Amino acid sequence: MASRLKDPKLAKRVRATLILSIPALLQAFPLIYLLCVSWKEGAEVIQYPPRLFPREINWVNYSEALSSAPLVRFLLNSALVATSITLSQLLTSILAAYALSRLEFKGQNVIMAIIVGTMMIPGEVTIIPNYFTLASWNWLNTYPALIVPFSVSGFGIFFLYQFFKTVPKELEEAAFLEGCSRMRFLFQFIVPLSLPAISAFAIYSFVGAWNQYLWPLIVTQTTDMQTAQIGIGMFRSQNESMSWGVIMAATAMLISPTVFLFILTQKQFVRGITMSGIKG
Amino acid sequence: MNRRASLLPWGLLFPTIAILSIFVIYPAIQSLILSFQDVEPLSKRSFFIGFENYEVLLKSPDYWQSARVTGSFLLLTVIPSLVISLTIAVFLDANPFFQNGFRTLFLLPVAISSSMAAMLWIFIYNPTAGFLNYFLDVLGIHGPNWLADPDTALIAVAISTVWKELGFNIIFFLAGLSAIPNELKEAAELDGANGWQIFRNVTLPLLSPTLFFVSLVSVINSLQSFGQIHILTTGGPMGETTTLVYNLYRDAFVKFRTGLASSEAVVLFTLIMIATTIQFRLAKKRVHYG
Amino acid sequence: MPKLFFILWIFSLGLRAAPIQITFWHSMTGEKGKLLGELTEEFNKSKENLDRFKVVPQFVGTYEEGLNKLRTSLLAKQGPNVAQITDIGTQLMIDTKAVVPLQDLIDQDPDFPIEKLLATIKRYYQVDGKLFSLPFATSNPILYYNMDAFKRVGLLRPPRTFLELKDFSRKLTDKNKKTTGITWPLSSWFFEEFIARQGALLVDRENGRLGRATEALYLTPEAIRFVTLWQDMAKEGTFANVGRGWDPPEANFLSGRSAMMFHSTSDVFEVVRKAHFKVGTAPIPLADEKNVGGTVVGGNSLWILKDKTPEEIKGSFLFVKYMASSGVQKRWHMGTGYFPIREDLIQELEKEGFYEKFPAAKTAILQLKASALSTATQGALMGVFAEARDQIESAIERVLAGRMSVEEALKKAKFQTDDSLRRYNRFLEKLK
Repeated sequence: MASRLKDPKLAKRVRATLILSIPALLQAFPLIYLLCVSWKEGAEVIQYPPRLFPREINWVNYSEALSSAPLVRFLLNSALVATSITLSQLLTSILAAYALSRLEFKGQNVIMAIIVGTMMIPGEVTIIPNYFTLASWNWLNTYPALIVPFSVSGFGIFFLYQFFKTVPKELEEAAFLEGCSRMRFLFQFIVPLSLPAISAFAIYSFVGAWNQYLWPLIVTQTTDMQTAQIGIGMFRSQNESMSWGVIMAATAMLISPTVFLFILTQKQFVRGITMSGIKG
Repeated sequence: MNRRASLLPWGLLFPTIAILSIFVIYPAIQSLILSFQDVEPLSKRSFFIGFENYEVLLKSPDYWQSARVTGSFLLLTVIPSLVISLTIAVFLDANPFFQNGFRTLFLLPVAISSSMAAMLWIFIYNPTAGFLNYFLDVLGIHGPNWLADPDTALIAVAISTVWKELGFNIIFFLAGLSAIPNELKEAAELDGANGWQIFRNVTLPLLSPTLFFVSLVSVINSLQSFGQIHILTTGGPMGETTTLVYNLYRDAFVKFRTGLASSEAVVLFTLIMIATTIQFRLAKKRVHYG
Repeated sequence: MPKLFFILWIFSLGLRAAPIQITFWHSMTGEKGKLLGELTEEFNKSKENLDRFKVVPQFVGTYEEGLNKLRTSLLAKQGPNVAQITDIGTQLMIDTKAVVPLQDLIDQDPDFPIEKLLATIKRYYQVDGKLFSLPFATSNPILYYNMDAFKRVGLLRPPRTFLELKDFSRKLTDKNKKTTGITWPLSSWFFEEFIARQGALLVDRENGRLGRATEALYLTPEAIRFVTLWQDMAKEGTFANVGRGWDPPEANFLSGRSAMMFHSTSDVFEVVRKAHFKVGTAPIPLADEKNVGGTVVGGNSLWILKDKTPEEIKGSFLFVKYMASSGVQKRWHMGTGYFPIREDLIQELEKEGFYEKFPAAKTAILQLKASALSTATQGALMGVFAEARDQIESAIERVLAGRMSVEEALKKAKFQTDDSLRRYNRFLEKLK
């Protein structure tokens, strides 16, 4: 009986594996290419016909990239800023989504509409007025300048709102009967139940914050405050084509922390999913 | 108890409202005011010109082109992205071998910013030393000059965008798929339904809230695309990759036409609002909440 | 007790003498960025400076991004002391009224080697005889050619005229081997340069030099001639169109796919170094045998901003002066490909035999010196230059894609630029 059940399941697994390997290869290719180019030296990069793998693994581009710009500092800045933005977005979104989805109060719908409305405002228009605001507060070239304007995410509130709404009312009523306060209910029940959604949003938020270019460029005034994205800009030069190997080496170094972070946290994420799956 | 209860939501909402007001709503209002002005390129001085900016937009063939490009770009990115990521998510959910590895692999491009991703792709698309055309050459196909050819440029940008966005959508889909109880699928299987029928009648409806979100996220991401366009094509050739957002950027930060850019922002905001409302109406009809 | 006072007094001297910070915004990346950093450090430690000032260099993105950053910061009165601005931003910078014209500071300093600066270079940044900024990284377009490829088809020298260009390119194009005669970036810069080469103006009012430009002159016979040449070569397949970027044509040339390329002299050392073949350089071709025009300098210049303390302005000027010194210009020229801006430096390098070793570096200098001194070669001044470039490039794209004829495309670009100019000038009227 057991062996017969296994077979169709096994076939399913094998089929899934084979089918997935094609897009997986396509997804991975640009990254493999990135590494190969970063290991090539000088003109080997632009030879025709192009060869994928370098003749030998050359680290000269990497040392060149490191000596051209303070990459480590940039990474630390990006990490600090992106993490702070993500945490504050998570906190404000959880609180706001809870208030809007499970509490009842006047003006609820208006606030919700306004928040959704802010999601639709194009980022470019907020840059210059915000610059002035920060300049008048003397916040230019500081970490708060990079973090505070983005500490709230309309999208996060909206997204978590939908998930929080799916928590059954009976659970809430039962908890209140037991004397549980509203805040405790939020953090002890709703948050754990919504973990996959919260993790998904955390990743979205982190990547968005990590990605920023225009705002940090305008707001930072000294090299020690600049972020990884601006760092990449330093290698993307006006008129030179020779330094492709160096550009790729710099890119490889600048993406490796987030890549490793992803590789690690995605295990946590899986755990989060399976846990909630069991709860059903 | 009653007063504390009625103050609680406002307390919870306070940081949100404060930050959004200062850093989003206030600039937006400023933008609206500026849209009726002509603003001097490098200063703050401006004078009132009424609806002139809006008139210029409506009469500008370049602006209509950017609207068309935005529409095409939306279709070229959102639909393939949704279909491919959903398919991949479904197969990932079927517990293949190396599941962890696959999942990580698909997620990786998410870790890269759109500018960095574009740096990769600009090299791949390079007509001389890039791999794509060489690969096509080997197959006997003469590859076009992807980024310089007005017919292929948008497709090239779309491909790099889909490559990068897949990971996002897969995460969300996986989260949604994991919430579908296996018992339902097994019950349908026992009833004699095949894979596709199970997918259509059980999985898809239960997935609809996730589908709604992923499509919303995809549309917003696509509309806000900037890094790739900026690095791969700077909106060219002949404006064939200039979306509404990129056009706004160019008017605001290259041509320093703050008034005009502000009017574009107002129009963009209106369009997004309409698009979102439509999506919400559709959602009301089709989305089932657990 | 007196000892304590003495110590405190020495200490206070040190405090009082803390170097004043001078912020310097630039857009140089890679090797150039590194060299610039070194030169700045050398100024800080130099005896001209005597530790009075400390220049802090700051990378601010591409020229476009840097200009944006400058604009935003000016609005909040937070700008830098010295800014490196691209050539086409000249009129815009002047119109901000936020700069100290370099001439004003030079007039107060008899020491400044103003006469030693090459006239052809100075002129670009002079308006009404006043020098506004220091030309720093200066370049010209030149013709690079693959000497080995030339030899293979029996060509012994580079093309000198448009006709020769077409002819030679045909000989060098081989459809089977997938090689083309020539390539160059699809940039408005080449349009502007080849118009000046024929002695024609880009915009009216003597290229915006005699008064604010009001009309674009894209429909002159000279302009049409060049774009038609471009179109013909693209149609014949002797010109490889690799888009607007500056990198792909270089990659194309270095890989041997194109036997010639037009590019900036600022890359001359790198190109010669990285090529696997012998690289020759030559002036860009003339339209025909008559040499009536010349080339316009490209590149960027250093601007000093006002609204700072007199001390800071003094320091900014000291720094700019240092960057104009022979020593610095020599390092900069030899480390990048940019022109030396000083006549005396060129002669020094000649004497040292530098140009015998690197004849390629001299080509642009000779070309510039052979240019007629007219408003055509002085370069156009427009507040809307960035827009105009975009409009011209779109026109060229349309022509190369076969969507419009040369006249139609240039006409459309002309109307667009005229409109931009009209709007820009309206400000200056309405906001006196």
